[in-house]
Amino acid sequence: MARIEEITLPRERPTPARWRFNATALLFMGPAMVLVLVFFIAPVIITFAMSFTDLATSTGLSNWQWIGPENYARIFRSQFWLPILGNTLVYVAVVLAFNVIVGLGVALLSVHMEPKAGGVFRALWLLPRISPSVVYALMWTWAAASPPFGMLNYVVAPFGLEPRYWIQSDPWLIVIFINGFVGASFGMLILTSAIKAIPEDLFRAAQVDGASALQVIRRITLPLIKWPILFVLVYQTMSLFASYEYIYLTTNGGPGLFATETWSLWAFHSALSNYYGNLEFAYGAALAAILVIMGLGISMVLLRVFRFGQLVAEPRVEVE
Amino acid sequence: MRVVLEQLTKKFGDVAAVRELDLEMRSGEFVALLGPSGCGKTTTLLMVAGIYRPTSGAILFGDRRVDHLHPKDRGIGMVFQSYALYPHMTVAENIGFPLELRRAIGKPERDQRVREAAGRVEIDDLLDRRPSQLSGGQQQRVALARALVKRPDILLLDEPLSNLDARLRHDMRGEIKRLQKEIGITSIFVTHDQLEALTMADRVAVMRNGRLQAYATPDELYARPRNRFVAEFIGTPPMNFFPAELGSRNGSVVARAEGIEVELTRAQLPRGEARQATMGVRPEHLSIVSPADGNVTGEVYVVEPMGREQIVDVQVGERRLRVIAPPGFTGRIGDRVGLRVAAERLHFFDPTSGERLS
Repeated sequence: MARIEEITLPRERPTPARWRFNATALLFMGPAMVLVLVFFIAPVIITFAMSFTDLATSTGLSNWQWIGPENYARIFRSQFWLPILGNTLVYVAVVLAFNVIVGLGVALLSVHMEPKAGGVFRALWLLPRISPSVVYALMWTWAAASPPFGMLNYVVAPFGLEPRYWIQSDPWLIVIFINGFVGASFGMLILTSAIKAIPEDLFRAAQVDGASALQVIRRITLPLIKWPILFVLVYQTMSLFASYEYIYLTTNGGPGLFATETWSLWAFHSALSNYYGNLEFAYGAALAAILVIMGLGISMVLLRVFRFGQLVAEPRVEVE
Repeated sequence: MRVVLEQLTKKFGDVAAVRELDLEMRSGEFVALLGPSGCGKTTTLLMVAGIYRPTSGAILFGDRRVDHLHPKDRGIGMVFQSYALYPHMTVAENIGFPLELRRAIGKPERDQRVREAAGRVEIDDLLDRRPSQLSGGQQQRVALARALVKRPDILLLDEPLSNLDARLRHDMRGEIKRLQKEIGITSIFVTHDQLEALTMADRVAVMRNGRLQAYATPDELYARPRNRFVAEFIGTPPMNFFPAELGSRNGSVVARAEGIEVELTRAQLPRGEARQATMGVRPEHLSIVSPADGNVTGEVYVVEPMGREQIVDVQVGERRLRVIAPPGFTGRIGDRVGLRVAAERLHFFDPTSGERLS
């Protein structure tokens, strides 16, 4: 094969005009820029700034002072930061695994079903996502209510399990299931469309080549949806780190002291729902700031582990 | 391996894509399924491949009934219209995939056979590339190598040339035909292009609306089309048709149409009763002569020079006839010309059923 010689084009010098103030462009970009500034950048800056003050209900909105990194020191002096960090990591890791594995499983099952049945099946899995969070959480608290109530007790009875008050006895189980089922729908949606985007001929070719259904999934489907799987993984990691609403609505970090408290719930409790009535906005901001840094760090590690750069550079499936 | 389709029918809901298809392919034969889009040719191929399950009817490979078998158990190789190369595998991995799925074949043998198959289609220097780094023609060759590497009994090709540019298509046409003969593998290929079917296949099955219209050698399809649809579909430019009247005069059969009167031979149309018919004549069987010498006269409507020949449209009364003229023809638009037709080159079809009348 003949090699094509590389041609070096004379590089264009950036003309000063290109950088000149372009009022029209700014006008068009303006509204979006204002929104990004107000709703994305400003809150981060305010959070970080606030974390260096002593702003709380007790100081009022006017009497606060800069106190330097005292809030951070206080967090790490607390005897709870390590268990809560541990809780957070367990929560994120287990729920993430549940989300991605179940989401992928449901996606694979539903696309291999008869199309209408597959659609109904997916719609069922979407129910937790489309019902209001509070309704969904209440349904779980009722389902896991203390004996003699609680549907869960009746469901597990045939398996010889004693009826119990699940939220008290197995709080983690409830936390993982409630978040897992609602989160699985996200992976399911993304991965279903990713699988459906694979040209039908590839599956047919694999069948003709001699692949069984499982071999088709392992050798064709999964490698071709590597990128959407990574996306779901990273996105879910981020949202799990920041999420607390279902824990708040069921165990509320309990039972007992911080048994299922995660970092974001801790920040919420400190800043906005303090038991003692003293809402420590600044302390909560410091907790949130750490959360932001943790999130950034972990996503960077994930992208590195999955070689994000190579992944996006790789040619996608070409659709004729 | 002989292939037999018996009363093969495929329905999608209420729509029958293929209806009661009977077809037999001899061992080593190269058969084309030809027809316009939606005629059921690809559906037929996918049933032979085992990707579609027939609604009724049977498929036999040799003496073995296979229509209940999974594609992987049928011993087939297939080339898809889109080539269907696995984008995440290299060329070598693509070709080796069918062998990798068979536990019985070890890695050394696999590598050996991948190289052999790649060599056969002349892509041994591309084994490390990804499909996205290949041209359409190279992808086609990879698809062929992958289909052949497991030494199947039957090779299926779905519109194998339709994604190639005109020149490459011509080259691959010859190469696929040669490869098929070299290996001697029973092959079925689907195409909507009559030229591909005629040039490559030993026999061509012409389909329309899920039904078989004709199944014959290319020569026979061209020389004695079984019905009007086949006559029109085979040959470029297509055959000219016009209504004619058959009658007898002085004991011989004559056809009259548009002022043409031609005496027919007994062999051509044995039955002499007077009747209506559709007369067909191919553009290459009409010749342009001086107005006095023609069976009929007309006016040149347009001339399209093609280099080797010219396509001339001649207006005869209400009708426009297409004629192939030699490059030396110098007529211009509006010139009066005569058309000559050899009686033995005429085709006659029933005006309602379209069936051939002889």
